[in-house]
Amino acid sequence: MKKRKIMPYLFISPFFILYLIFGLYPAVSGVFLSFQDKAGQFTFANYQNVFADARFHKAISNAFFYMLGSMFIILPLALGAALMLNSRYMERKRGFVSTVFFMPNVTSVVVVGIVFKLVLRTNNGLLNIMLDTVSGGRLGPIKFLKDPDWALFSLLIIGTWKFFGVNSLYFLSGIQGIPSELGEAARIDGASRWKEFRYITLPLLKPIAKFITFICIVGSFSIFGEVLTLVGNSNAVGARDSMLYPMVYLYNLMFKNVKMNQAAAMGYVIAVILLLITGVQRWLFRDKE
Amino acid sequence: MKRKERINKTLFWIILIIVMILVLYPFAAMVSGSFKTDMEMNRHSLRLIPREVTLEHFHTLFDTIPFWAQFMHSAVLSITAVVLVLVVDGVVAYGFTRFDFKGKGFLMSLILATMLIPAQVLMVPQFQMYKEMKLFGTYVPLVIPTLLSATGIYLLVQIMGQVPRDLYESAMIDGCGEMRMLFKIALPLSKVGFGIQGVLTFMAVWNDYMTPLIYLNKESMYTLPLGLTRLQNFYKISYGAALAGALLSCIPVIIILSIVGEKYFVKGMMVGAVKG
Repeated sequence: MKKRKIMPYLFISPFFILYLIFGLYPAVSGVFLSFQDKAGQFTFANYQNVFADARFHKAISNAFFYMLGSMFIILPLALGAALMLNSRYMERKRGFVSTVFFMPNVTSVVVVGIVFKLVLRTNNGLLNIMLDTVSGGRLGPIKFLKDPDWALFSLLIIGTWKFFGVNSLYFLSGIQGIPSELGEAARIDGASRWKEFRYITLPLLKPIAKFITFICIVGSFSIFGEVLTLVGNSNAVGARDSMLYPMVYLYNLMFKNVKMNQAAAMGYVIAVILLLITGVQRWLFRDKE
Repeated sequence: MKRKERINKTLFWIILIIVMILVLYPFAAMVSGSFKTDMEMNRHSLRLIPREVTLEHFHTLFDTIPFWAQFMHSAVLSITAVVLVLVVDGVVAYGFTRFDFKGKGFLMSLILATMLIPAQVLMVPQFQMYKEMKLFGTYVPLVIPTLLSATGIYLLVQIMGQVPRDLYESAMIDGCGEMRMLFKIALPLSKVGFGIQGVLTFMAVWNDYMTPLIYLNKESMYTLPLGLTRLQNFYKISYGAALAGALLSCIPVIIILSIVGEKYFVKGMMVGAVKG
């Protein structure tokens, strides 16, 4: 009978064993790494260097503004798209349209980088040619990738293309979870479409919106492949580091400068920053009574 | 009233079609650029249907990088990851749904808690660890992360949990062992879950760029995304080869997407969203 008691633990053990070795062990050993110098002596210098590092500040602020941009641009668009997907005009084409919306999301970052370089580049970039044609040649070519003022905008164009579809499907799942009686009842009481949306749909989408904004935060701090394929990894990532993002900088420290210990410290600092931001997000989405 | 309805519907579809064109345009530009001659590319960049179709970019692509070898590396790696993930996640999910045991709820939340450790924290120490283990430069670090993902287990637990307990009980009376029950009852009844997790894992490994970039040091071992970035230097001469490579690398994804369609993908994501 003893066998039956151990059995369940045997079944679930693979995950825990794997995570212990490949997840937990490095997460803890990294702490030691971050407090050591190259000779293995205890030091605070790695953290001091991280906090004093102007490039690190730049990477964090880039990610922060990208996060705000994605929340205020991508999410409203995704909600709009979700409402369209949920519309009765869709009829039987919902499956097809949502597959189309979903396609950019399953495209590899490298492909995205290659294709959007074609779209955004200064010379002969497709977007510049379109702008040129529309404006009758009055609009000079915009350096979407090389002008630091356009860098965030360019990455947001790509982010919108890549992520509004998935997020609209998330929103759609939220909308479809709302009991239809609620809307019907409101309409019988004479509520307008807008009021129904504002006072029934929107509040009930809060849990899903909380999830999506969380993904948004984590995603903004994880940008990597797009940047490397678009502008490469030279001394400055994008003009004046305008495309330097935390992950890219971590990679840089590890491989270009071989500052392992400082990179380890940076990882934890980024984690704390993420924790603070998601804390604020949780507070904003708290249940108000 | 009828007329207003019709105008609304037309307007709705006009907006939707514009949105779909915007989504599909980069793909169209990629396809068209793969077959256009350099001259047409430079003079008529916006033209989607080429006047003159050429295969020269595919030739340049195959001459510049060992494309098919890299394609195979990616394919074998992705399929290996899918098999391993399904075995591990399936066994663990079976343990959670088949039995009641002490600490079950706690252990499940422990699994979910692993998702809160951000990748940024793990990047450096994991790299050190794999180096110490002499696994740097092998494919192992590319597969392991997929096995550590809690979402797959969560998804399978949700779906396997719907298998009626009575089935196990009566199979046990018939003298069925646990392994047999896993394969004969739990697995077939949660096929959808395995399908979703398999597809998502395949996509993740097939498209992965960062992990191979960190861990592969020999060009002979490169996966496809890594190989394609090697065409970077080539961009200046001709963009077509890079586009052709990108196009070919999308084919497995397109095939999977068209077979299992929105069903698996959308469902897979919904389960992910519910926990939020």
